[in-house]
Amino acid sequence: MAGDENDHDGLSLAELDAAYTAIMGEIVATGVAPHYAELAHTLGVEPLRAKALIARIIDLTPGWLHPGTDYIASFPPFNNQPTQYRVSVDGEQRWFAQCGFEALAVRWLFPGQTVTVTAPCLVGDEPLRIEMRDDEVLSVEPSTMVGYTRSQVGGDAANRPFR
Amino acid sequence: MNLFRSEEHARRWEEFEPRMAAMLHPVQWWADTFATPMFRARARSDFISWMSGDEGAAAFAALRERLTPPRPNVAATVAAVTALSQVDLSMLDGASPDDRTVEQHLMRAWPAAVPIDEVRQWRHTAAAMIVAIPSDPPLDVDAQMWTDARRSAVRDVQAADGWLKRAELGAGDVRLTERLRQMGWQGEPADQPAWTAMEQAARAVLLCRRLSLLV
Repeated sequence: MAGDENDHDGLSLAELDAAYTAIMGEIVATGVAPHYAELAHTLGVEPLRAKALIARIIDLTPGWLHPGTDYIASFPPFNNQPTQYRVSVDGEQRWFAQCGFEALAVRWLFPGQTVTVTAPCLVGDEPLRIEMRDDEVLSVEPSTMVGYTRSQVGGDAANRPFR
Repeated sequence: MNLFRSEEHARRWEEFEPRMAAMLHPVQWWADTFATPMFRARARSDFISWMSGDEGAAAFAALRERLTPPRPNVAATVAAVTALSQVDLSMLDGASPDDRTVEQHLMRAWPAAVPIDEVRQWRHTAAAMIVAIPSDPPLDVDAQMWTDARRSAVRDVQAADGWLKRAELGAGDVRLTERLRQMGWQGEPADQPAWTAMEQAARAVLLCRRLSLLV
């Protein structure tokens, strides 16, 4: 697809870039993904066009819509639906990460700011906490923390958020 | 794709899948993984174009390579095969399933730590060899000896399966620890189930090798 002016659905890469940037920008600013009608207003396009742009972006990235709806449920590294991975930026908790791994990628959307991820451990015990700023992992509590997935990263869509 | 307080916590998770144990890493490893270009580029204003182009494809390929389970440890395999090739097959003559001669012989030859992947590979090799050995012996071979040796190899592979599961769960065994201690084991307790699984698999391979020489 490199070099193609238009995507398969007649959507240009420039339009997809603009839509992706607008969605990500809205989540970064508010913690919430826009509805397609809101995105249409932001982009100055018809709602159905915005809806198609969202659908195509979701196809191209490891995000998903809530089943049976047009609502963005997950837009990595964020999740529009709350998860156990709470994300704070400079002390303000407004965001949720798609999963434990994507929580570690949130920092690239907040350059120069301190991103803190807190979560319970799935088997109980004390909670987890990680502080990051840009390339630096400032603290990991407990220091023995590990990440694990029982499925391939970016694999089967049905398993992406949970496993 | 979750975070846990420790490896022990992750292994206690009801959905922990030993088959995917290679995807268990310290959080710093995952932080480094999610710091690769594919994730940083999300802040670009042309992310979809970038992702769809050569740079994005290269970034995705690099990510996929990083997330591919580790390949077999060639050095460890060579070391094990070399050690195995030095084993005198005649020691199997008359050996019963309870005979510890093979175990003692191998223990002197093998390195203490045995990677799980190597254990799995040996188990697969043993199982494949058993399948390749016909159940009916050649006409000039003692049928009882053939059947007993083949059955013994099967039992060893089954035992290897059991120890492999223990090794993947990081579960030792008090009786094994004591027995190996008595035999002069110098390795770490955590390596014992893996080592024992490999020994059982190797015993099966040796048995199959002996049968194959008779075909």
